[in-house]
Amino acid sequence: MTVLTAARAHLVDLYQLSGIDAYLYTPPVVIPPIVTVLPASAWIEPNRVGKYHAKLELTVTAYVGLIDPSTALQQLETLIDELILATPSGVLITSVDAPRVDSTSSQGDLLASDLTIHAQVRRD
Amino acid sequence: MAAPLITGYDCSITVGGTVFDDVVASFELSFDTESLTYNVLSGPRAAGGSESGSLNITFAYDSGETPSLYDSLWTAKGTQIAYVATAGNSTYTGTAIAVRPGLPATAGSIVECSVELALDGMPTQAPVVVKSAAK
Repeated sequence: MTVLTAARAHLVDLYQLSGIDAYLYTPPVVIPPIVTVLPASAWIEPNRVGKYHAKLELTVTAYVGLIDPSTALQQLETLIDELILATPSGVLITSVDAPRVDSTSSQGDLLASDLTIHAQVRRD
Repeated sequence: MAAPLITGYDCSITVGGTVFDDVVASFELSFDTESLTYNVLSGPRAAGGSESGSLNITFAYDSGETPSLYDSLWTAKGTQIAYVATAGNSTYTGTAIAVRPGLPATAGSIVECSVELALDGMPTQAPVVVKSAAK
């Protein structure tokens, strides 16, 4: 496992320990509420002298079902709040995007929001 | 043959015997040489004067880590601290006067400190090692 995968896996583990259904990939069948941790752009940015360190930018996407629009936004707000609390010290949340509607073929519409986070990684 | 380009990828900074590349975003050794000038009837004359220099380091706040650049500078403030600055195949070695780093905190940003250390004498430049291409 490279340091890039390990960084995402560490975050997913922490979220799962907090009771959040988190994934390293977008599962083929999405059963909300779920969270995915995926690379963002700019994904890797050198920010230290030497060859071992880089800043990693990731997108943590929170999905909730949009079956009942009256409660979906509240569910998303609760999930985002849980994510913020579960994100470890040293990992920087730089922004949380406004909710959007994502359509899936199997599960219908989802209400989704992206958290952009920065982490520092070291490869040995 | 193309000239080799040195980037931050090829640089390293050691302070007080410890390599701090893990936290250092940038460093700069800078020098200032005073020139003595005097106008005579035949025209202006100049001679070299005294030299001074500084080592500027910008780094992530790392107090409490082992080792810690922040804590090393804080503890050593006002005293000599050894440094080694490397860029590619060049290595500069010397001592500077440590100062207390500040503590700038901004919401939504990594806490990053900057210090300017006055050099205690000019650094020694190790000979540049020229690597020949494989034949």
